Formats: sequence, C-alpha cells, structure tokens
Amino acid sequence: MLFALSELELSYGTVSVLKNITVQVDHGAIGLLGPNGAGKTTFIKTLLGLLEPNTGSGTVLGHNILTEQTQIRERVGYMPENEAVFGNMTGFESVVYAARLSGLPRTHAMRRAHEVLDYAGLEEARYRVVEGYSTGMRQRVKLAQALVHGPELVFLDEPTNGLDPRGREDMLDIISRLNQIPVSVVLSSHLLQDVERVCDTVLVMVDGHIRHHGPLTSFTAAKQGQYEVQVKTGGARLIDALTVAGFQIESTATDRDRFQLTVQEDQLDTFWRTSQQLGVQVRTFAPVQISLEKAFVRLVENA
Amino acid sequence: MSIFRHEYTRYEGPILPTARRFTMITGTELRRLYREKWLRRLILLAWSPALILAARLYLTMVIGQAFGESEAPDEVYLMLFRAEAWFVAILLAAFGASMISRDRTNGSFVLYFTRPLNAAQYLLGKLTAVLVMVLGITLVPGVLLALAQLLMSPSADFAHFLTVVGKLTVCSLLVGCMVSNLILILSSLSRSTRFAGITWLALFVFLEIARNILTQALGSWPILDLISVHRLFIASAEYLLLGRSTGLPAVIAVALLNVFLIPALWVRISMLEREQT
Repeated sequence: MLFALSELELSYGTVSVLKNITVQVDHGAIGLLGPNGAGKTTFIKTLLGLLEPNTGSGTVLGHNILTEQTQIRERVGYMPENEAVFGNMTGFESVVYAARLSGLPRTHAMRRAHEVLDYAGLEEARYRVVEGYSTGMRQRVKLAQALVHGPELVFLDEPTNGLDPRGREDMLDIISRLNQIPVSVVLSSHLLQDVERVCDTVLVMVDGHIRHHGPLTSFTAAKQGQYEVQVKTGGARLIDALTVAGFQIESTATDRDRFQLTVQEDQLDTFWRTSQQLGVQVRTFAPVQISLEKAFVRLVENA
Repeated sequence: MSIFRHEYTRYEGPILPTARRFTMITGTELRRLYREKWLRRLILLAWSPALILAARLYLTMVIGQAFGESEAPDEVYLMLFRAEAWFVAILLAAFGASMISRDRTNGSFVLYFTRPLNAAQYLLGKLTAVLVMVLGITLVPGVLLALAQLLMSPSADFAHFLTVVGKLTVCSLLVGCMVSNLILILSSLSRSTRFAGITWLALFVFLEIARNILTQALGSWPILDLISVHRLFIASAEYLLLGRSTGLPAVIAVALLNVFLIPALWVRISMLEREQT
C-alpha cells in the first residue's frame, strides 16, 4: 500500500480544504487531478506530514502521518511547484546539500548527486549558479533534489510548469522511466495530457473531496455497457436488425460500418448471434473511451 | 549532451543519524560564507586589533623589564573585546542578516522541511554557523593573544594561559550566543536581508548612543548597561575576563536573554515552517 487515509479533514481557519477523505492507493504512477483550488497541494503536504489534519488518520508507506513524519520524509521525495532554491549555490551543490540533509555521507552525496543530475539531464550547467538557470534547468534541479536520497515515492507538483514543448516531453520521459524502477510517482498537474502520458491510476479531487480513484481506463470509459463496434461490411443491415431487437444504437449516416452500441450484459449473446446470422464480420468490439479531458470536465460538472 | 541515456538507480548506501543533520546546515553555511571575498577581508581586518595588542604587550614587557616590572596585564583582553564588538556588529549586519531571510526569499523552507529535519535542527544549524563566525573574531584572536602573552612574558605560565583561554571561551560563547540569536531573530522577521542588517546596526548604534545620553544625565549606573547591546557585550567581558562586579548585571541579563531568545527563535522558525511550506 502506498498510502491510506481515513476520514481525513483539514481546514485553514474556517475554510475547509480537505473534506472527509478516505482512500487507499497502491504503488504505481498516480495522477492527482483537480481544478485550481481543489486542494491538491494541501493533500500532498498532508501526506508529507507538513500539515496536520484536524481529524482523521493516515499512513504513507506504512508510517503514520501524524507521528512518523521524519520516517516518511526519509522514504519520500517532493518536487515543489513554486520557486524553491538554496540560494547562491550551483546546481550540483544544491543537490549535494539536499542529499546531505537527507543523511547521505559526503562522498556518497557527491556521487549520488552526479548520478541523479545525469538522469535528470542537467549536463555541464550543473556547475553554474542556480539563480542563472532557465525554468527547464530549475525544474531538472528540483527533480534531482527530490530523487537524490533514493525515495520509494516521489510527489511531483506541476513538474512541467513553464517548460517549452521539448522540455516538457523530456521531463515526462524522465518521470515515465522512474516508474519502471519502480519508484511510485504521484503527479499533480492541471495538464491532463501529462497525466494521461505518465500515469496508470488517477485520483480526482474536486472541492476538497476525492471524486474518483481508479485506473485511468475506467475513468475515461464513457459509461458501463457502451461499446464501439466496427464491422467489415453490412453495417446497415446489422444496425436495422439490432434496432428491431431493441438495442440502442448511435451511428452516422455516412459511415454505417462504425457505430456505438449500448448493451446490457445479458444482451451480448443476442448481439453476437444476430451478427453471425447476418454474416457480418465484426472487426472491433471495445468499450467506448472518451478523452481524459472530457471525463474530467464531466466529473467536475457532475460534482 | 550525453552520448548515452542515464537510467535511474536506487540509493542503497549508508544514512547518517538524524541528530547530526544540523551540522550539514552549519557546514554548508560556513563554506558559503568563506567564499565571500569581503567576509575573508573583514575577518583579517578584525584580527588586526589582536596584532596591535600583541605588539603593545611586547612593548609593555620590554619597558616593564627596563623598570623592573615584567607582568603583562589581562586588561588587553578587554581592550580586544572592545575593538571586536564593532567588528562583530558589522560582520553580523553584512553576513549574518541573510541567514534566514535568504531562505524566505528563495522559498528554501520547503526544501528543508520536506527532508527528515525539524525546526530545532534547522535553528541549531543556522545558530552554530553564526556563532562560529562570531567566535572567529572574538575567541580566535583572543587565544592567539593569550598565546603571544605566554611566549613573550617571562612571568606567564601555562596555567595562567589556560585560565585566560577558559575565560575567553565562556565570554565569547555567552555574548556570541546573544548577538547570534538577535541577528537570527531579525533575519527571520523579514524577507529582506538589507532590512535585517540595517535594523541590527541601528539597534547596536542607537541604543549605545541612548545609553551614553542617559549615563551623562543620570550618572554611571550598571543597570543602564542593559539597554545597549554594545554595552552588554563589553560589560559582560569586564566581569568574565577581569572579574569587575559592575559587569555582573550584564552577564545575568545576557544569560537571561539567551534563555528567552532561543525558545523565541524556535517558535518563530516553527511558524515560518508552517507558513512557508
């Protein structure tokens, strides 16, 4: 179990930010989605033990978030969204310092800093002062700092913010490869394509509540029992027959060989029998998938 | 651009105990400070009073021998502290004021406190770094001066040297802690290093002027020493180095100030930790 929370609530003064959160998340690449102000960053900071919830309990990698913050931070890395540097240091020195603060001996910290900077793709620039870095370089240093002590779980808060398309592509590639080690990743982003590219599980937050948690494919599935059907030829005949049999079908007038079918579990046999009787060859029969963006908007609107 | 793709590997090496983490902050801060050209120059300049006093000791000894007296007075250490008080003020304004304010400006708090580190360790790391800097211009030249006294004065013995070094250490630590705490408090109050530095210098200078005015108006009362940081520094040295009882209220005040300031700083850092992260 990566983390588990039970009836967690947190408020800033009178403003309630996290509301009755109960969730259990397994290892993997998890996308944390939500509109601005949904409580994503507060959620991450609560898991890191930086914020103390008003009620509820939870564990991260088996450690209690209320009493074992130090143990959690030894096994977890965090890449903050906002500008955060150790002033007047080179990229290399910053990463060594981060390693030292996590308890690595000096020689190990230096060797390790080079390794993670190589991985993050910061080459000779590592010997320049961070204040002179471009946004992309700063993001790479932040990522290297989050990884230098070898965490089992990394929280990445908007890691592609301010990056150009190539930089963004590189960063997503680096993050995707992390999950193969395996290091679990929690990627908080408002860029849905980033989450779609990297994550296999999504956690959607809306107004302090977890509105969805599960595999990305189940989140983007249009609805239960809705299938995309494609036949070789004779689509029009099949549509007519299925309509008579009481199926609900959506198709376009131009392409009758491709249509969407809403079918109950017990009607599936009837579908296959009908297509067989008509001699229509079914090439595709798959659950209808919608884009992550559509699924997200639908969820937010319904919330 | 590298010619091959680097893959990520997990760290499997040793991890140092949590209790030692504050030394990483101290070490890094000192290394960073040492790189400042002006800090190195200021420290060298701050050692010049010790050289002048060593020369004075030598002359006193030669002249004393000519008149049949060879005892070198311990008054030189108080003179050293009087001179160093101003160097300490300048050093802290220029280099100590940035200790916490820079972390606030750079957003570094989130980098510190998402690691296995707490507010007390952060504070201890910063405090030790400032204290080492202060000891570098109070204790170090003082010990060198004591060594010069031991080598030059025929009547000085090793026991006397050790006593002087002990007194210098206690005095430097006590007043060093006070000024380090004060500059860190000021540094934690603002994101602006300049604000912290100027406020510190203003406090140091104007409170001393106020004390002088009050002393002229009311007479020389030891209690008036308590309103000036500079005078607290000197009066404490008078008591701890020379045993002058007029400095006792200052020593008590400095000790109480330290007892109050350290928890106050810890509370302030904890507040900043919550605010900044």
